[in-house]
Amino acid sequence: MSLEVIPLPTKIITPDDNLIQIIATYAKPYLQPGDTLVLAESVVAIIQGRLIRPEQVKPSFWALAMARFVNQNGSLSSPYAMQAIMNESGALRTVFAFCIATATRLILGRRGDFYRFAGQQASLVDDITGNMPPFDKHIVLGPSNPERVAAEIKEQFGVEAAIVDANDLGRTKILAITSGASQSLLLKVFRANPAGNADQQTPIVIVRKTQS
Amino acid sequence: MIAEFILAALACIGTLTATLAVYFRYQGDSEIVFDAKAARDYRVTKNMLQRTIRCRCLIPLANRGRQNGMVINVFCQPMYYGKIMEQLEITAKLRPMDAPVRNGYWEAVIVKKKTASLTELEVAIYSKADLHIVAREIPRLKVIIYYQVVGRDGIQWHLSEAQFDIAN
Repeated sequence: MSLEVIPLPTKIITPDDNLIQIIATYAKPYLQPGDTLVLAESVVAIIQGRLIRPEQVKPSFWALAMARFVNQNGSLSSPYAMQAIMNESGALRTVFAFCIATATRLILGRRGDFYRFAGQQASLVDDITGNMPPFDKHIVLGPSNPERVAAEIKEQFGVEAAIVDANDLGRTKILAITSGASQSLLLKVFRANPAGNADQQTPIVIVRKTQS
Repeated sequence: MIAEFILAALACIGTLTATLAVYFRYQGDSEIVFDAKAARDYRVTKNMLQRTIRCRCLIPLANRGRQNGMVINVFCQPMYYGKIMEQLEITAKLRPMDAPVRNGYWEAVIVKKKTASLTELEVAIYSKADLHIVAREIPRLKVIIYYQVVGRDGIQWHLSEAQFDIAN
């Protein structure tokens, strides 16, 4: 048995679109029984309207201070993205996560505790410049309720579905997956990020098992 | 006892605040400039028949600060030179030299600390009046570049000015 991975080009997807209609237009003609339909998490978030312009966010003292301790390769190094996460996950929780993460980093030398304590949204946020135009000037949060979205896709199209956060660095996270799809298989496939991180415009990928 | 505790707590808060203030000051921020004073390769091309003038120059975009910064929006606006402007249609575009042309759309970009790159400012003028009149009325055309930067301290707006010699 081998695998076929089919990235599907789409139009630029915006909050004005409907996810089910997008899948019906761009993916349904190619879907076969047994396929797994995989969506990029950022596209689900964009359709859900989970994007904010920095001008719409007023960074608090805590956001300004905490962002200064984040490496500039990370999305949360901008006070606006940090404030967006504080608004999303709760200010108290984010400050608590920051304090705990600082302590465990200094005392135990352990990294990543901020994201463990601040919640999944903190690791999914894409700061300004983190997305392709026309969303390059927005902070894009992670999708809301991805499990429900995946279940709805399965119900509508009769195939397995997953929502994935993949990038060119080989870091893959599966946010939601329906019961019949293989998590380990998807992790393996998406380590190579077949949908691409640049302007490929292929946010939908079909993963198909073949007999050859 | 209580007074000593309050004093100790205040001392701790004061020390922490001072340490953070020193750290933030030392860390600094981005300092991004469209350095119009260092602009080069000025070119002004006139087409008398079609009554068009095309101006272009290369402007360094530099980050002199100690932190990376992002240039999110850039807007170019020619200055208003009175009634002659009613005869003119002017469009001004600015783009990074290494970026694909996006029809005047400025794609948000990270400018790394202590780096510089070139941007191209292009101005197209379509005139209803004879170009000799335009050159007489506007011997030098000034274009204001407004740009929005996001750094560690938040959003900042800056402006820069480029100038084209139309008369020659």
